[in-house]
Formats: sequence, structure tokens, C-alpha cells
Amino acid sequence: MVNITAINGEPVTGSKFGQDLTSFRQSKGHGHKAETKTNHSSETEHAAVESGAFSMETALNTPGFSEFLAGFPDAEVLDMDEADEKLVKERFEAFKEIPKASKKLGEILQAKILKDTSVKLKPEQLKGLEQGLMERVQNEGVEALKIINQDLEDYEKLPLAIKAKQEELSAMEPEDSLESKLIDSKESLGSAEERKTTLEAENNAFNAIVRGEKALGQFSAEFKIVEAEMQKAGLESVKTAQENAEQYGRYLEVVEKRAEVFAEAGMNTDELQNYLQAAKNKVEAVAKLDTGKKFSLEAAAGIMKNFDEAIDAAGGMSEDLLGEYRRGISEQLSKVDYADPESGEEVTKLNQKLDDVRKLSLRGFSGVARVSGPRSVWNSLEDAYRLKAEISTVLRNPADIGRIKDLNDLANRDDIGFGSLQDLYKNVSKVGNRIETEYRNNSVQKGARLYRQSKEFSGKNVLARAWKSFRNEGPVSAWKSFRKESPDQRHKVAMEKAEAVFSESLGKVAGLERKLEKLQNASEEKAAMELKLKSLTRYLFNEAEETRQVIAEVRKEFRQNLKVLTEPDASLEKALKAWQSLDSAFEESDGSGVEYFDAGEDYGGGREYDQLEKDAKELVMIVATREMVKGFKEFKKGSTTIEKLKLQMMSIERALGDTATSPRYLEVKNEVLEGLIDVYKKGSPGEKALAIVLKAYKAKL
Amino acid sequence: MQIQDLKQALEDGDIEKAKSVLQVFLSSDVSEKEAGKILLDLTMLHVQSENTFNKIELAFLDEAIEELKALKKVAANAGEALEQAELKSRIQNS
Repeated sequence: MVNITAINGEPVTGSKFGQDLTSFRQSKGHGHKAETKTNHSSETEHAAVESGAFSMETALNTPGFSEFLAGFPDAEVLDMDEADEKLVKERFEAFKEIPKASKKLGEILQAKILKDTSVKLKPEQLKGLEQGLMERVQNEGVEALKIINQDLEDYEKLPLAIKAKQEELSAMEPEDSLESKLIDSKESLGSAEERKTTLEAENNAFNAIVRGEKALGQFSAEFKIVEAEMQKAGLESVKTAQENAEQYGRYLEVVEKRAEVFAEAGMNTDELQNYLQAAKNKVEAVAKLDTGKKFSLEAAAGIMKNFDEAIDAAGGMSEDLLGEYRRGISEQLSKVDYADPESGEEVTKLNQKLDDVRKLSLRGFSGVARVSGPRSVWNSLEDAYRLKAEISTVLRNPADIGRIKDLNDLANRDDIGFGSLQDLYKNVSKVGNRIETEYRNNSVQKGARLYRQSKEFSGKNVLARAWKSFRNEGPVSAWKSFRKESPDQRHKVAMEKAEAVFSESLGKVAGLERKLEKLQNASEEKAAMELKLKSLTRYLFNEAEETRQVIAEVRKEFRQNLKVLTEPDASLEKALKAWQSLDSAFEESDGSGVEYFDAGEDYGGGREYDQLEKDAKELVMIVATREMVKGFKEFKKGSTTIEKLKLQMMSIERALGDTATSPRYLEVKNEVLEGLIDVYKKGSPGEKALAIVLKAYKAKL
Repeated sequence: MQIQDLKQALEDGDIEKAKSVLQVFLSSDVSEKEAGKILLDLTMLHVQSENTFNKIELAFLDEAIEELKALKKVAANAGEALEQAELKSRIQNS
């Protein structure tokens, strides 16, 4: 039995629900109104809902709703009194929403799905879509409609949200990236001093060029006069040209050597003027030679050309490499045998080389105009490459590799992300290597050109571009490539990859932070080492200072002892004692003084000690001689005996030992011996015999 | 046959195949009710698919923005630390 009850309280038959509802409307006096409306009435709908209180009667009288309600599976058990009013109300609201949702779906169907087709949806097909939607609501409940409405709302709003995010992402400038920051810092901190040096060198070179050009202008003007005189003389024979070529070969050699000197010395104007005057005199002197010995105008013009080039090149070249190169060419030119008829070709080649060098003047060699020499070029490049390698290492941390590989695989492209970045670095290295090779081969023109090329690939620009490329070809474009994949796979794959990218992005940031920490640690370690070094230096300095003080004291004492020896009444005993004290003075200084003199032999220390010792010995000998003379005089005066004199002599001899080699001492000793021999000769036979022995002894001396 | 093909394409989630079958299907003589159900399925498949991917793309963009912000912060810190280190080194060397 059906439990549905009509609003008038009379039961209706469930199986004929739709018919009974129609009868209900007619019986309650609404039949006329219902019959006159064939479609949904928005006025009625609004009245039913927006009046604040839901009206079951109004709802049931809304055309089509009764049939819609009857299509629900529970229609037969639906109670039409207050118990199910809430349910009926929800279904009525859904009923009203269906045409709007259906209309949107139809628009999407036509505009998106059938976009590339010629199919135009017919009204009955759109109606069928609405019916299909009704049927789904009836089968799955009003919740199904809510889900569909939410999907339709998302369908409209999500693209707008994406667009806004893309604009936000595009607005984020790459200049603040780690790479750019690092490079900016390095460049600004590292190149200031070099710039200063470069500017000074550039300024000097510029001034040299100005001076050189001025002097050359004067020389050229004067040479033209000479040239005109030569032309007037009409001396153009090949023979004389060859004969004079040798002389002008030497002339050219002198010119070029002088040009080198001028360039290296900063082109002193006065010196150049003097030299040019001498050169002019020489030209004039040659021009006045015997008519058969004049040089040809052609040879003279060639010489002038070389001179021009040599001056020009010398004035503007970077000193180190180009100077060396130029000197090499000059050397070859000086060896040319101008008497050889085939020497012209060789001279042409060498002139071409000189031309190459000339083009590398500051004006022609703009690629390295701001560096002082090739070494600076390479230092700069090496710094740049080292920095790039550091950054590359940061970007190659494990999280990045995993991430970028995934992106590359997904996009199935080789030129995305890490790949393109790596290529750029590779390119920079390749260009750098080529430049180095060219420089080594002295292909300076090629080297300069490649250097200019390398500037386009190096430094901040290349990294900014690389980063921009990485960013643009990063997650967003990789994701877009997912969309090209088949729909059944892409959702699953995309979700997995999205999650992977998110976690790996965090890994990248962590990697950069680790790198930063390392940089900071390295900086602190460096500072600590410098501190230690300073401390050690201070310690060593103090040690050295103490040693110096000790040595000064030793030297002072030494001098004082020597002074003792020079006193008039210094006894031999006192003199010997003073002498012996010299060594003890060194020993008392814990060996520092001795070590100083020994170790310092190469620097004068040893010589100083030797000289001091020699002085001391001389003084001792003087005192010893004086003692002996004094004793002998007393003996001759009779105030002392010969025995005492003998004892005194023996004492002196013993004290001096094998050091008694002073000529003056020996002379005095000889004199004393002669005196003794004279005394003994006149004495007893025994004494006469002793005189003979002493005579023999004296002869041995 | 077309209805079965279309249903199969929808079950497989193959929206391209469904579209191609749909063209023939719509020009054929089929009941409104049957056509309506299939059109609804097809359209909702398209809507939900687009929504899914748009949501993921939005999440990607959010992540990319956050990642860039984080990198900028790290870069700023690194640059500052480097400048400090160089400054310190200069003072010590001077």
C-alpha cells in the first residue's frame, strides 16, 4: 500500500503518483493555472523558495516538478506531509538548478568538446542533456547536482587563478638569484684594485701613444723633405738599393730597438726627438753618398712603413705578451739578409706579423683594453670559471639532479633545465680553452676575437640567462608537457611528479643553505688561520729581537775587553786574561752570540768575529813584546839578573804558545837572544857553550 | 554500435576517441534520453579532467613561487655573508 498522502489529506495511489498529482492540482483549483503553463515558471519558483517559507503546494503545482519527483526511486514511499517536506524542498531546489547547469554543460560541450568539429547541437539534443541530468539527480540524489555545480564553478575559476599565479611568477626577477648575488659580490670586491692598475696602465699607454704620434708626425714631415731630395736625385737602381738595404737593415734594427725602449720607458719625448734627429741625420748622410751608392725610394718607403708600425705597435701594446712577440719579430727582421734577392718575401711576412701586433694596440685590441696584460686576462677568466664551477656544484646537489632529470625525462627533451645550464658552462669552458690555446700559439688576433666571444658567455649575463632558462623551462613547462600525455595516465603521473618536485625543491633550498654554511665556515677558518699566523709572526719577531739584544751586549763586552789591551800599562797577564774573556763572553750569552757569528758567516758575522779575534791577538802580541823589551832593558842596566830574564822569556813564550808569531815580537825576541849570546860569550866556559847553543837556536828562528 | 563505442570510450576515459565517436553519434538517429545521458557523461568527464589538471598546475605554480622566494632569501643571505667575509678580509689585509 502506498503511503503518499496529498496535501488535502486524502491518500493517493503510489503507482499512479504523477497522475494523482495532476488530479490533485486540478481538484484544488490550480488546474487551470497549471494547464496554462507548459514550462518551468520562474515566477512560481521564486515564489516557492524566496518567500522564506517553503510551500509544498506551490512546489507541487510547478509544472514538471511532480513528474521529476515521481522519478526518484523512493517516490512510492515518499510522504507528502511535513515529515518529508525537507526532502521535497531539496529536490525542488535541485529541480530549479538543473536548467542552469544543463545550459552551462551544453555550452561547454559545444565550445570545447565539439570545438573542432562541424557538429552543431540541436535543441532536442540539449533537451536530452537536461533530461539526462534530471535522471542522474533522480538516481543519485541532489548531492550529485551539487557536485556537478561545484565542478562547473571550478571549471570557470581555476584558469583565472592560474593566470594570476603565472603573472606573479613572471614578475619575480632573476637578478636576485644566488648566482647573480655571488657574481656581483665577487666582481665588485675582486676587481677594484685591478681596475686601478688597469686604468693607470691604460693612461700611461695612451700618453705614450700621444707622444709617439706627435714625434712620428715631425719625423714623417722631415723625412718627406729627405725623400723629395732623394727623388730629385733620381737614384733608383736595384743594385744600389740592395747595397743600401744592408745599411738600412741595421738602421731599421736600431729604430725598432729604440722604439721598444721608448715604449717600455713610457716614450720619453725628448729622448725620442734626439733619436729621431739622429735618424734624420743618418738619412741625410746616406742621401749625400756617392751617386752610385744611394738607396732606392722603395727601400726607404719600406723602412718608413716598418718604423711607423713599430712605433704604433710599441705605443699601444700590452707590455708582457705583445712586447715579447714584437721583440721576436724584430729579432727575425734583424737577421734578414737584405743582400738576398728573395729576402723581400720574408720581410713581407714579418711585416704582416708586425701588422698583427699593431692591430692589438689599445685601439685595435678592444677586447682586452681594460686589462694590463695577458696574465690579468687569465686571472680574471680563471676566477670567473672557478666561480661558475662553485655555482654549478650548488646546482648539482643530489636533490637537483633527481628533480631535473625527472623533468627532462617527462618533457623528453635534452635542452631543458640542467642540460641547457650544463651546456652553457661547457660552452664557456670550451671558448676559454680555445683562447688559451690561441694565446699559447701566439695567434693573438684569434685569441682577441675569442676573448670577446667569451665575454658574451661569461659572467653575470650567462648565469642570469641560464637561470632564466632554467626557471622558464622548469616545473611549469614540464607540467605542461604532461598534458600532452594520455589522459588515463597523466593524472596519476602528474600527482606523483608534483609531489616529487615539491619535496625536491625543498632539498634544493637545503642544498643551497649547506653551501652557504660551508662558505661561512671557510671564511671563519681563513680568519682563524690568519690570526694564528699573525700570532706566530709576532712570537718569531720577539725571539729575533731578544737575540739581537744579546748579540749587542756581547759585542759591547768584547769591545770593552779589547780596550783594556790598549792601555799603556797593560800587563801581559792582564792582556791574556782579556783575550781569553772574549770567548767566555760568547759562552755566557748561552751561545747566542757565537751562533750569531757562526750562522751569520755568510752575512758578515763570521768575518766580524775573525776580525775581532785578530785585533785582540795583535794587541796581546804588542803587550808581550813590550814586556820582553822592558825585561831586557832592565837586564842590560843590571837591575835584573840573566836568570830572571830567562824566566821572564820562558813565561812569555809559554803564555803565547804557538801564537807568538808577531813579526815585531820575533824581532824583539831575536834582539834579546843576541844580547844574551853576547853576555854568555864573555863568561865562563859553560856560559860560552850556552852562547853557542843559543846561537844555533836563534838561527832556527 | 556507436552508442556502445561511445560508452566504451567514456569508460576508458579516452576523451579523444569519445569525441570522434560523438560526431557520428550526434548525426545518427538516437533517442534524446539515451543521447542526453551520454552527452552528460562526456561533458562531465571533460570538466572534471580539466579541473584536476588545473588544480595540479595551480599547485605547481604555488610551489614554484614559494621556491623562488626561498631561493631569493638564500641568495640574499649568501651575498650578504660573502660581502661581510670580503670586507673582513680587506680590513685584516689593510
